[in-house]
Amino acid sequence: MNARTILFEKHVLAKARMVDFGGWDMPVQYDGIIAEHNRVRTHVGMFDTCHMDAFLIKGDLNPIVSQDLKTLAVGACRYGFLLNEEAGILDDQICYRLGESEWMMVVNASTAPADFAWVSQRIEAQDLRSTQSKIDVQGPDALAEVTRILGLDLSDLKRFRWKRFSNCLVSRTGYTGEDGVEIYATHEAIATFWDKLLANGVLPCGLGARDTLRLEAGLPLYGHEFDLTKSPAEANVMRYASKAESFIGKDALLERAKNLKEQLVAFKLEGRQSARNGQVVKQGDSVIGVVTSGSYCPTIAAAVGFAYVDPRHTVLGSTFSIDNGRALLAATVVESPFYRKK
Amino acid sequence: MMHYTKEHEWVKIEGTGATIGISHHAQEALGDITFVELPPVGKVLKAGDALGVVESVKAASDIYAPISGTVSEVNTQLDGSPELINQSPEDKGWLCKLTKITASDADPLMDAAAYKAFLG
Repeated sequence: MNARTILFEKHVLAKARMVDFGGWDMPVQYDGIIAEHNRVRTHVGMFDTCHMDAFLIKGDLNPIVSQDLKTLAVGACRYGFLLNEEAGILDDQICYRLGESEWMMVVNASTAPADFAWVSQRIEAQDLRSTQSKIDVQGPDALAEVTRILGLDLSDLKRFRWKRFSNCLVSRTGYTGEDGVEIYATHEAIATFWDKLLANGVLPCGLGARDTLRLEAGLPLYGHEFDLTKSPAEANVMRYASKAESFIGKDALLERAKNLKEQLVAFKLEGRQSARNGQVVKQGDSVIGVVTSGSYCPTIAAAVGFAYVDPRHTVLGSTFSIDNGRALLAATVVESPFYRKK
Repeated sequence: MMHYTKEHEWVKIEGTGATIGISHHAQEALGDITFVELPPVGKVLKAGDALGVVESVKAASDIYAPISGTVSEVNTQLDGSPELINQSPEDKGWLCKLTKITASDADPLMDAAAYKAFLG
């Protein structure tokens, strides 16, 4: 049987459509993906992200992660990768600096058990799965609504900073391309927050909207843009690899960056028809790559996506076609993010 | 009278012509429709032929002809407003019309009561 979050029964009561996501029963939509997407872009929405995991870590974490933690202040958090020796991406994660040598690392759901094994073999780490849950509140009104409804003063909370309250930890982060927060607390406290937010007009959003929001904002997803066969070099995210510090996989990463065999590009399709994960990218008759994510995105009203292609076809404005099995869809390489908040 | 297929298309037969769409259940299962591909006018379809594609945010679904006939008209409003299928699946969100129809022998059609029972 799949795992369930503390909020599972609430999703079922709200008549959410439930799906399997990395071994978890999660809501994919409540009243409709587009309505939920638009709610986050224009006002506020909340997400059950309890399936994600976090580790409490003590010691010198820098050699294990790609991001530079030496320059990270206590009270801040930073995005980066867990890489293996070949620079393959084990996971993408965010490290919160809780104290001088105390950290919280937040990781994806399906990769969490392997991540924990990898990390705990190398440093003192505690899996917070049994004690902690998380929700995301996202949208231009997210901070104001969390303050109004939960009574948390967020006025001094800057981007990629966190703040501890008596019953929770709040960071100004998210995965939607909008302003917003992630709230970490005990399972019981998270369930109470969810009920209070809902009772005060913050509506829930599912993984469907989370996916269109992150795609539109140009944010990669583990299992799609990232996996063990890819490194930050092919994925175009070298900015999250420290230049100053050494870390597992760094030597291999620098080698791979010199001789790219494929590279992630953002593309836009001519029509509203979507390309989908796994479809082949072609130039004439030759196969030059494969799609990793693709969807119609509501705010930009266009079908966009990501693909790994031969590095010779990554120049902005270059065109290729995507074979969906019945037709060739015309695509143009464009800049990511597809959407930037005003 | 409306008839339905196991693949959740509906067909409304009037004389030798018919209108085709997808059922309320189908649009609900698909979610927000974002794109519709319809057959060219004049295309001759046999019952069971793929006649087009309906895409939602999450997935693409083939639509099959419930009966045989020739495409006489397509719902061009769906190009700019595919959400009509969600809003009015069994009326304004129709997909295409056929002429010179012949009844299906591949997939027996269900009336509304039988379709409701089929959905369970």
